Amino acid sequence: MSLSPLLESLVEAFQGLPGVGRKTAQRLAMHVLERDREGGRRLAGALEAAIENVGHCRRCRNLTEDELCPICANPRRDREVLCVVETPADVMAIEQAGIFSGVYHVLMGHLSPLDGIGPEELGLGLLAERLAGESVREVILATNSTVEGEATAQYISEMAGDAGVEVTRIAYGIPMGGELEYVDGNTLTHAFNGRRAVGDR
Amino acid sequence: MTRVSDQPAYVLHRRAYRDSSQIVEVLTRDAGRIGLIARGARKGRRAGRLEPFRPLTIGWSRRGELGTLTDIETPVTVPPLSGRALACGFYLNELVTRLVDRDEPLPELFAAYAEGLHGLLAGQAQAPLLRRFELRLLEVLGYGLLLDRDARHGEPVQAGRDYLYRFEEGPVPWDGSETGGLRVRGETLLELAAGRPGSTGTLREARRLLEWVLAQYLGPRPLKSRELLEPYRRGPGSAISST
Repeated sequence: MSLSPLLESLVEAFQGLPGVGRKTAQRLAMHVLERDREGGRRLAGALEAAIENVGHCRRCRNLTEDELCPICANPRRDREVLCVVETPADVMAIEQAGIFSGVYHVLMGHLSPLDGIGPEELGLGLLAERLAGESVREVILATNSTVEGEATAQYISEMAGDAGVEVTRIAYGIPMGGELEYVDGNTLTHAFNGRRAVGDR
Repeated sequence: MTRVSDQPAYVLHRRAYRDSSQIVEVLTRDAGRIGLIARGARKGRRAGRLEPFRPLTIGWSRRGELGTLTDIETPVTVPPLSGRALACGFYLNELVTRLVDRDEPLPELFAAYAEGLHGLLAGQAQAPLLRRFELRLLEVLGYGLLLDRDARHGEPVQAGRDYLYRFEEGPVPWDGSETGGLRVRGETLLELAAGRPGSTGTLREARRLLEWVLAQYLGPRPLKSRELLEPYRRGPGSAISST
């Protein structure tokens, strides 16, 4: 079936989004044009405005249209505790869990030498400046538990150690509600290595 | 279409492909370095099984440049690499990815790689381990270094003498000029030849020699993983580390 050029380019644009195949893209396009032109206009406006205006927070590099993101700008956040994450999505996950009241540093990636991403490409200099210039007491490393996330965490822990800041790494192991039988050997290894005395919370 | 099963392998690198899949670069025992698509590898129970530095047994089917991963087994659980050993692991992977072409069966390389990783896990001294791996890698690729004989007259290299190492030729007795090669001491060459680099402070020189030789094959783009080793070089005990 051949679509008119404008319709085709709309379908292709939707298809460029993650998780959207040809069928879904067609459904979205039809929905916007047949049933919700007003919603489509809002989407177009929001996309345009976000792409034009959203940049990175000067301090933590999280996505924001202001100079400082709402977290860095919030005087009630504990500036002495700095949580290092790989992506803005990680910040969102931690914020939604509502467990952390410190501030973040968003790396926008991880060290991956085979992709040509070393400490400089990752902008670790900025983090080093923060460690030196702000009164950070503890750095919590919340990078992914992939080998790259681990390498990143270890590099930063060396850096923070040089700056005389305490470094902690988030724990990993058995997921909540998980059954030991189905957990892989490496996760079990971590879980055993990271065990702690009952009652020690 | 070829199908392979039960093949020992290590993941060298992986990158995201489409929404939930990965393109995985693996070093296999019998097929050399190959590229495979791992469907759905980024979510669900398969996530995390294709991490580098773990011995795997894999199967794949293949019809073109890229095959499709069909099985992954983890025959043994090994503890994860950490600290400087992890940075060294990345270095091995980067060397292999940069210097070894796909689809070149190199079983000796697989053995050398497995041995290298094993040594890193076992906490062996890293600098000599990396030097041995570099030498073996060059050897299996057909660029093996002449170390125990003088390239000009074939006379045995002697400790206590200086040599000029000429690229793709070998050592010649040093005559005071520094051009056309790299100056090294006889001890360094002999220790490398014996597979025991590292006694009596020759490690630094051995590293310089191999770095220089590798650079000629690697071209102008430097090895990124060396940067990960930097903080460990500067750190405590850095005087003894020529990783």
